[in-house]
Amino acid sequence: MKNTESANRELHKAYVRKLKVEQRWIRFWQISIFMIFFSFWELASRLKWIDPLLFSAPSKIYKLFIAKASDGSLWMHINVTLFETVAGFIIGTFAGILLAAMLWWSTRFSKIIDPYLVILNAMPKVALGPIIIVALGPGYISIIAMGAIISIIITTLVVYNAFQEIDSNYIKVLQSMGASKRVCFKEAIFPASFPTMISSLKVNVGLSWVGVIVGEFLVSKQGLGYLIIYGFQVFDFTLVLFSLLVIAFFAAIMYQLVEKLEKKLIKH
Amino acid sequence: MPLLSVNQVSHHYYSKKDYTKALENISFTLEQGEFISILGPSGCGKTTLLSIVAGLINPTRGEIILDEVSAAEPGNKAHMGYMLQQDYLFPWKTIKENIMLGPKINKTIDNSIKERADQMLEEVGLQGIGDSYPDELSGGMRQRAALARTLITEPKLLLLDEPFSALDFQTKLRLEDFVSQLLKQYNKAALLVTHDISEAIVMSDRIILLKPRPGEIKQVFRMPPELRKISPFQARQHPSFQAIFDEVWKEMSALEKY
Repeated sequence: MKNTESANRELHKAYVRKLKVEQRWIRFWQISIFMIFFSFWELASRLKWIDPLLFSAPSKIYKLFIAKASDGSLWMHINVTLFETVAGFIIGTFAGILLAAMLWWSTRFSKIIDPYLVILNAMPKVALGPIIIVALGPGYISIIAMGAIISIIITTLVVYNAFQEIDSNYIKVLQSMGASKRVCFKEAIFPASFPTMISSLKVNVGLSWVGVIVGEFLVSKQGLGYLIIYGFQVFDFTLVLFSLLVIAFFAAIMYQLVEKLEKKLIKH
Repeated sequence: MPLLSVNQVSHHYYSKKDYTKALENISFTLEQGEFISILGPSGCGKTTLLSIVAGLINPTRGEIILDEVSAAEPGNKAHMGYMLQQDYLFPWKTIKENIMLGPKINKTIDNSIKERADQMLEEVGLQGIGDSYPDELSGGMRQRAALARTLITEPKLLLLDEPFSALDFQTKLRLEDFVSQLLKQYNKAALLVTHDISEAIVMSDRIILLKPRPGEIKQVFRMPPELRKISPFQARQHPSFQAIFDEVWKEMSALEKY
């Protein structure tokens, strides 16, 4: 008995060891790709395999980072863009959910509005940029509007779909207790669609970045999108690539935060 | 005055092309403490009939009277408890929150209800798991929690839409006994919809056999008192069970040819 028990323990240990080794390999390759990419970039730039004027080099970008970070201008640009993105993202998601709730509330309204939603969804929202800027003025309000408008319609469609997909027997249970339409929404439809709303949050994080960066291309005097377009105009591609890396970094962090939120909110 | 009367109820389903008769001229009454099963092959409109009694669908013709009030009156839904094939416990609510849903909707929630929820849990044999979530429970436990949710509003009439059909056989037998004993204890009336002949025989006072397309009452069987006195499990082994089963089976098989 004792022998098999300890043998079983050994087998389990071997399994855990194997898991750890696998995990280490994955980490190793992830870091390797990162190192190889940046070293090769640096090397290619120094040896003039690629035009350093166009493609810059990691060392130049790092120097720029130190300079921008120490004079404080980097934080100002990051602040502006982050604020616009978060605001656009929140407004877009909430307006989308609200619109979906209205569609659910009135089937007639949803049928009437359907073709318009299809057209609005198919239309590339950034094409509305010039009109939004004319309407709301060349400032951060326009840029937030761009960040929001890009995600509203798709959120509406996805969330409305989730509202409709709930098992009608849950509604039957509530109605048999005498629940009104409002109570059915609050007790069943809305909480059941929570996972869909969170996953649309994840999509919207990425979309809002697109809207805000394009918005900044068009009008702004500040922000990471502005840095990109400015760098492009003065042909400073170190600045362009630097801004790109900063955007990638913060977009990834926002995505991670939404994932954390998801784990916290959805337990059952 | 009976507890429930179903008066000449007919129901049609409409499509663009035509209409389908789901139910045709159904009439019966149900007394306080009585258990009636609606038996019939699939497509005979059993569930439609139950939804009409519950006031969830308005019948095309006819009326439902519960305790001298029309079932269409909004307040009357609170006097009926509805149980479905599956438990339909809300997965994001704890068992206790699920059970208190009825009082919450009818805005009768207070401290005594919370105590009553604990009491109900004990009654259905689920004491101490009020803070668990439905996905942590077995199928039988979930159905018992659903029963507690139905009973907490003290309904005058229980509507059971094949509540045992999704369970494994052993759990089903145990739950039949449990529900039957609970109903007798509180002298509650129930209307069970099923396609399981033995279940109908061992649970009911009367069986109403429906004929499909359109759903019409074909025949009413009255169960002998010796079966009524014993539990469903014992009734399945009673000498007179087989004879009744054969009789109902013969009538029901004749319907399937339609």
